[in-house]
Amino acid sequence: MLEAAQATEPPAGPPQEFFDALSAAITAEIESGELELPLLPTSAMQVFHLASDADADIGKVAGMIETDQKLATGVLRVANSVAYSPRQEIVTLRQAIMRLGLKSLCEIVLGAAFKATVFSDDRYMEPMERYWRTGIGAALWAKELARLRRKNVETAYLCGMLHNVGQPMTLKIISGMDDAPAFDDALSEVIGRHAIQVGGILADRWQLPEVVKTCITYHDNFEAAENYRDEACAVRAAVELLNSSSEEDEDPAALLMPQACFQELNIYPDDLAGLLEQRSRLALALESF
Amino acid sequence: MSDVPYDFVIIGSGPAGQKAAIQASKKGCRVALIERDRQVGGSCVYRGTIPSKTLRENALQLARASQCQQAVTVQVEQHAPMNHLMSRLQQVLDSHDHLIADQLGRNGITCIHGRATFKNPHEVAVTRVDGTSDTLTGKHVVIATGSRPRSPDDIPVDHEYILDSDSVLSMCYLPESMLVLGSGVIACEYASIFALLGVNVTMVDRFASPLGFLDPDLSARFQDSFEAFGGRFVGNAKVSDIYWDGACEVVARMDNGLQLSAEKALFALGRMANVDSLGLAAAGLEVNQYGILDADENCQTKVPHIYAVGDVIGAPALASSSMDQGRRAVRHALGLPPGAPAHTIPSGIYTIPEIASVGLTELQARKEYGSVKVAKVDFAEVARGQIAGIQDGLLKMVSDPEGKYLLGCQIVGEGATELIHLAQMALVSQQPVDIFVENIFNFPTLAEAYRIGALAVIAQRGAANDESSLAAVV
Repeated sequence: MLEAAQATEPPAGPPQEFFDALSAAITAEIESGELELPLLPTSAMQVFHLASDADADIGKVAGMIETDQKLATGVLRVANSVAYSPRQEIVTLRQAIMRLGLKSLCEIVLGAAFKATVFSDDRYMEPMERYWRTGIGAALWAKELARLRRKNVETAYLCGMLHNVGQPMTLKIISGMDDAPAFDDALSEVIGRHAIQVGGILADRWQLPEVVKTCITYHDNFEAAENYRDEACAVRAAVELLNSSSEEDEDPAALLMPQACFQELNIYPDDLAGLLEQRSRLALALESF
Repeated sequence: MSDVPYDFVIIGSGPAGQKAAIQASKKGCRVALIERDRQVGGSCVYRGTIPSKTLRENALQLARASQCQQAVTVQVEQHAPMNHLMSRLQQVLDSHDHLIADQLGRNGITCIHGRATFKNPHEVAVTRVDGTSDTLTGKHVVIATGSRPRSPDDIPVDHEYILDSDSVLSMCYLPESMLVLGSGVIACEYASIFALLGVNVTMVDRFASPLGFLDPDLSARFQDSFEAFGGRFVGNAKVSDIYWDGACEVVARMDNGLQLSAEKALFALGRMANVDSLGLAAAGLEVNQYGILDADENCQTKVPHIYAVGDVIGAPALASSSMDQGRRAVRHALGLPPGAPAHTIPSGIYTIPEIASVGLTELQARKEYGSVKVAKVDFAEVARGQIAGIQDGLLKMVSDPEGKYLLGCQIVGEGATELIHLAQMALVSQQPVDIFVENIFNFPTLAEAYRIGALAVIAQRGAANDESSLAAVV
């Protein structure tokens, strides 16, 4: 597939032709309609199913999570994190469910399942972790924005968490190729070319709500969204807030204020200053995931 | 800084600000209308009246459909998506937005998006959302900044589990259960809507009955209806502690030891005036002990060229009265006759069922006039009520001790907010009670209740004093 590119590979890394060929290969895979995308783990799906049942038996839910070691560990870790602020340490799954309730548990299971399924790859652990942190960080900021604007907090969280799902998915596709290169800026650029399309396909396959798909597709270009423009814009703002919080800038408000997304959301300078006061708390919460 | 001499600088584009702006422009004035939101209309359009009434209307339509059980089966699904229950909202909002923008544009009003702060009594700084600012100079200034839900420090409103009346409509799905703290107008409106939609609603208040300011007959009838479709009212209980348990429920502890819990809670105990960022001191103004601005019957504040209208001056805090205040303030500022202030402002409460009131209640009338004559008409006695399935209604007419003139009217039941205007017109024009008998209403209509009530009042006059030829009909 990439013979021509490999033949001319310079010592510093693959040439541009290699990445163009890689991009073409991804396009071909997408266009074939046979793109292989992961399914959420059965255990996670079963927990969702049970959690939506008002008469669900807690022991049954705990048992379901226990069958998936990765999920069980993730639930206990997040349940004890700053984000959920337990009043006492949670040491058992049953305790976690009793304390957190099925709804929060769902949020945690969903996060853990996404992380395990989409945001992980043995070959690209470091960028995958970064993508995950961007997703969860945007989710936390999207929640705060939603609170400020009296919008739905739960939807904002989900939209934030999955807005960049196309990036890890594209990286997973590349990882499955024989000549997958090391992660660098050039590869990141290739991922950027396909991420939105791949994210959209994943949203369709997983039958994610329309609002989530819109945020995946339009968070960088919210002006183009026909429906859910406000939500896509809020995700964009959440990402900007996340980026500003990871920088050491002394006056992030001055950088953020001119951004179109904040103006679109009617966030005034004092609103923004209030939001930015949450930086250290959210950074701490982000560390928990 | 630009020094633009406007005749009127109006702060806030809700019902009061809009009508003030339009009135001023109709008189040839240069008008600037400052709005902090991107769209004009205020809370009334985007966070309050219109969205909640859209939800209410759809809840009622579902309820009506379910009354035809032999023809169709209607049941609201548990966790039904809210956007399905608020269908048509966007169309209503778009249409309203279009209408207001068109009206303002047609009248040559300059709309400015930004936050207003007084620099001095005649100058208002406008800070735009990007942080840039400008200064407007106005010969007159009208403060119409409205109100927002009260949010006391001891109630952890997080807009996720514990909501206020702005964020309650952001819920994605109908919750299974909801605690409603408060039993005033907004609390009762939402409590009754959600209860009708099948949510297990518990309303809690420190007063013994909901809508305690109303005539007891009406609040009792409302409570009966609310409980008939599954709601629960807990009176004489004050919340001492409320929190989301970090798990599944919001827990509320009462001062009487009672503990209640629900999936969501709605805190609806009052509203506060939006005055925080106005820099009132620079204008020579301050709020009173209730956090609102003092203004006289022409809405003039103690600074003669500054007027305050709408929720920012408190009761009656109705969109209808706010519009009139806007108009009145501008006419007064321009030296035009504002007309006598209305003393018969009808109030409409969009609970399920609706409630409306005008004039004196029985209690108020008794205090003022002593032995008054009262007629109560159950909607079950009215053919239209039977046909439409509106049998939980009550119309109450209060007349003077002689039974001659109407002093007030209160109605509970669907159609109440429209029906009340007949009583309002009789009050305003000081018509005798007999007018409801001597004139002909369509049949079958709910207005027939007025005729029945008037006949009952006339019957109480006593045969010796009764000159009405219709007494025999009673």
